Order: sequence, then structure tokens, then C-alpha cells
Amino acid sequence: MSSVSYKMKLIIINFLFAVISVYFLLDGAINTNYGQPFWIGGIALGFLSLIFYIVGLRPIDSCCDSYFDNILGTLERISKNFLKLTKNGKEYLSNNSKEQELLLEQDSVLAELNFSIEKTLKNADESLSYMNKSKNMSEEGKRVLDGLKEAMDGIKGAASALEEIISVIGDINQKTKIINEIVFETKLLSFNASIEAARAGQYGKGFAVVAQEIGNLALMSGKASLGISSLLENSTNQVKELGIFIQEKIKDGERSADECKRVFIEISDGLPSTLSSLDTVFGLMRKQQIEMEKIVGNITRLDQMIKRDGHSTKEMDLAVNELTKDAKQLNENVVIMNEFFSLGSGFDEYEGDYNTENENHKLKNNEIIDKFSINLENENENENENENENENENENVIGLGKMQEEIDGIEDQLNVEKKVANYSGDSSPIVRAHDIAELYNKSLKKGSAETTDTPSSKDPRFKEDES
Amino acid sequence: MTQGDFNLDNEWKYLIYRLGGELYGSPLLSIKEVIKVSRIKPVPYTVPHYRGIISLRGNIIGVVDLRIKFGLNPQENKYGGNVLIVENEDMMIGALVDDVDSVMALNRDDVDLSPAIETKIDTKFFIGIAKVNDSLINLIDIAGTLSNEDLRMISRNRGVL
Repeated sequence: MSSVSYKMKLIIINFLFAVISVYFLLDGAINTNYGQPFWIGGIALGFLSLIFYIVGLRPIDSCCDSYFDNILGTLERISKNFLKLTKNGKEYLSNNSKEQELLLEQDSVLAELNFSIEKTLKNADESLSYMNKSKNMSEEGKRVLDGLKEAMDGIKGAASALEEIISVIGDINQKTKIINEIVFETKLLSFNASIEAARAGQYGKGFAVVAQEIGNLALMSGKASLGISSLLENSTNQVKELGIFIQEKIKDGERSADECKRVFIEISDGLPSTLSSLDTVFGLMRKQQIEMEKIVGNITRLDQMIKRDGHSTKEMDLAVNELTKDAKQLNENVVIMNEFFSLGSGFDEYEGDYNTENENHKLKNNEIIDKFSINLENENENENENENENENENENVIGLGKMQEEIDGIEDQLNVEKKVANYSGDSSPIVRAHDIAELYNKSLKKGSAETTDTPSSKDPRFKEDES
Repeated sequence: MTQGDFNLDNEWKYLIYRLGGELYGSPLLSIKEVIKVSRIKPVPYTVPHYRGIISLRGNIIGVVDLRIKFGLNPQENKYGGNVLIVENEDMMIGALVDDVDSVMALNRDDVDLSPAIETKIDTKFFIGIAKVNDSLINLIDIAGTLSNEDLRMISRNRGVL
């Protein structure tokens, strides 16, 4: 709209120029006295108007529309792309935070898994040790029983020997009794023999001697018999002791058997605890399986999220590329507009400065745009590294902010241009043109900080008008 | 027990026997026989020191317990005791003693005849005291220990069978 009215204004100016030139020509034709200057003036103005039309209006006519359309279109695209960029950026950030949450969850799950695995191993070791203990205990029991068997056999042998001894002692006792009797009778016999010998008188003296010897023999036998008796008594005592000994050994055997029973009972008691340990082991293993499944689920979800991230970044990349192109184009268009609107007056004088200033401005803008695009490229490369993503994102956000500032600057410039185009003052066309130029120059000052001089003051064209 | 000299007279031989732990002696000639007592058949309504009667080769002989006669403890001998067969005026008497020890031939020096001892009954049974191996042996006459009543009783009992 503004361009149309702007164009209209230029057409009016041009038409005015043409009218004035015609007027001057006519004036010159009518006034023959002062006609020549008016002729010249009229022709000059005519030429000026023609030149104005060719250099100013026609290009504007042809390309102003297109330029403004271009600029507006570019702005629209830029804003659209920017919105897309920001939306994708936000999505990316939220996804990133979700990813981090999932990773944390995974860490805790893995830690739990490790712990349960350790517990399982410990329990398995405990089970093994219990089994070994049981084995050892049963072997011990076997040994004890073997010892018991040997003891019992020994006792049996001793008992049988004991019986033999007792019977032998009994026989000996009987014989000894008989011997004692014989001894006694022999003694009596000797006495009787002595008595008879004494009665026999002198004829019995030899017999008395015999009697005496018989008595001696009896005495000797008696002594031997006494010795035998004492020995028998000793033997009897020994046998009694042996009997007691055997009794004790039997008691020991009984005690060993009881101990053995106890050991076996211990073994049988130990087995249930083993089984319960194994049960806990199996329970823990089942838990581990569940945890594993959880991990797998988390990994798949993470994978999906990463894919979405890729999609988001790709879209962001495309948007940024387009944005870059548009921004560059816009920059160029703005520069061209600057160049265009500072044509003719003072153009030669400040050509170098303006160009360099605009070039600097252009370069600065391009630098920022390039940096921004480079950052996004880096982002695409580092997509898989979770640590750098946040940093790049922050950089990108900063770059976006800067870009936004630049775009705001450009927009302001363009707004000014729009104002210029919509400018509707009541003063004369020349003044209007002057005002327009001033406004434009102010916008230029705003856009580039390097510009310190206002070209309007040094514009020879307007100097001419003022005079 | 010392063995007596072979050449000594038989009159000095004495049979030594135990009675209640003490040694007593009697002349060997007065004793006819010494037998081991198997079973003494008691006779009722007799004095305590009269133990009973025994049968020796068909002969009935009354047995007197010298332990009771002497007033000693009547203890049962392990081997049943020995009986000395004493001949007295055609009558055989049995004297129960604990154990027959030995036959001794005593010297004249060893024997102390008729010592100054007072006893309850007549001292005709007490012959003397012999000194052998630092121990004293009472020499007694068995027949003299029995009183007239005992002798009468014994002679009467002999005719029972």
C-alpha cells in the first residue's frame, strides 16, 4: 500500500516537474524579453523530469513493487521460519529434559539390578557352603558309627573271653578244695602213724620217722594249696574288674550312638535352610528379569525420542537455512534501498563512505547470520552427544536473540520506510520530497551506528532548492 | 614246730593241738588215734560239753567238746575240727579240738612240772607247762579233765547202741 502511494507521489512529482517545464517553456515563448532563461529553464526542467522518470520513477515503477513485495514476503517467511525455529527449539528442549529424566531412571534401575545380582551371588555362595557343611557332617557321622562298631566288636570278644576265665577259675577252685582235704587227711594220717609208732615201742621208731616225713609232706602240700588259693583270689578280683571295664565300654558305646544320632539330626535340620536360601535366590532372579524388561522399555522410548529430536533438528536446520537466505536477501534489499534512496545528491561525495558503511553493515549482518547457521550445523553434528546439546542450544538461543535484534532493526528501518511511503503532509511537493529524504536519512542513521553525518545537510540538490 | 630227737624216749612225745587259739599238749601215748570229725550224732538231755556219739569202725565213742569244757567260745571250725580218741580204763573217749598242730618231743629242761596254779577243779589233769619257741604250751591230761559224772555218762552211753 505504502509503495503504491509512494509511487503515486513520485508520479505526481514527475508530472509537476513536467508541468513546470511546460509552463516555463510557454512562459519563455510568450515573454520574448526575458524568454531565454525560461526557455533554458523549461528545457532544463524537461530534461530533469525526463531523467527523473528514467532513473527514478521507472526503476521504482518496475522494481519498487517487486522490491517491497520481495521484502514483505521475505519478512513473512522470516517470521514464519522464526516461529518454526522457536517451536522446534522448545520441543527439542522439552524432549531433552524428558530424555534426561529417563536416563536418570535408568541409572537407578541399573543400580537396583546390580544390587540384586550381588545379593543373588551371595545367597548362592551361602547355599554352597551349607551343602558342604551337610556333606562334612554326614561323613563325620559315618566315621563315628564305624568307631562304634569297632568298640562293640571288641566288647563282644572280651565278654566271651571273660566267661572262659570264670569257668576255668571255678574248676581250679574245685580241685584246690580236694587238695586241701587231702592235705588235711594226710596230716591226720601222719599223726596217727606217729601214735601207732609210739605204741609200737622200740620197734616203731623207724615208723615214727616215716610218720614224721609224711607230716612234712602234708605241710608242704598245705602251703602250696594256700598259695593256689591266694592266686585264685587274685584272679577272681581281676575278672571282676574286667567285668566292670566291659560295662563301662558298653556305656561309652551307647554314648557314641547317641552322639551319632544327634549329628544326623543336625544334618537333616540343615537341609530346609538350604532349600529356603535357594528359594530366595530364585525370587531375586525373577525380580532381575522384571528390571531388565523395564530397562528395555526405557531404551526403546529413548530411541523414539532421539528420532523425534532428529526430526526436530532437521526441521530447525531447514528453517534456519531458509531464514539465513531470507535475511541475507533482505539485507541486500535494504542495502539496495539505501543506495537507491541516496541517489543523485551527494552520491559522488559519499559514495565511498556510504558503500563502505553499507558494506560494513551488510558484512556485520552476514557475519551474524553465518555464525547462526554454523551453530546449527554443529548442532546437527552433535545431536548424539547429550552433554553438548544443552550448550549448543543455549548458544543457538543467544544467536536467535541476536538475529531477532537485527531483524527488529531491519523491521524498524522498513517501518520507517513505510511511514515515508504513507507520509501525507500538506506542504508543497518539494518540501514533501525534502521531508521524505530527511526521514529516510534518519532511518539510515538508526540502522547503522557508523553513520554520524547527516547527508541531508550536505545534499547539493536541496541546497539548490533552498536558494 | 621243732622236730624231736629220734633217740628220745616215747614218753616225752606230746601231741600239740589248738584249742580256742591257744596251743595245748597231751602225751602221745595217751592218744590212740586222731580222726577228722565227719558227723557227731547229738544225744538229747546231755550236758553241753557232751557233743554226742560217733561210730569208729563199729565202735561207739562219746565225744566231749573240750572248748566248752574249758569255758571257751564254742566256735565252728572251718574243717569241722579233729577228734582225739583217748583211751581211759578200757573206755574210749573222744575229745573235740580245733586243730591238731604237730607231734613234739620235748626235753626235760623245757617242761616245768606241777607249777603253782590254782584251778576250779582237781589239778590232776594239769601236767605242766612246756616252753617251746618263746611260747608256752599247757600240757594236760584229757582224761583228767572229765569228771566222774561225765565218765559215768559216757560209759552208760556206750551201752546204748
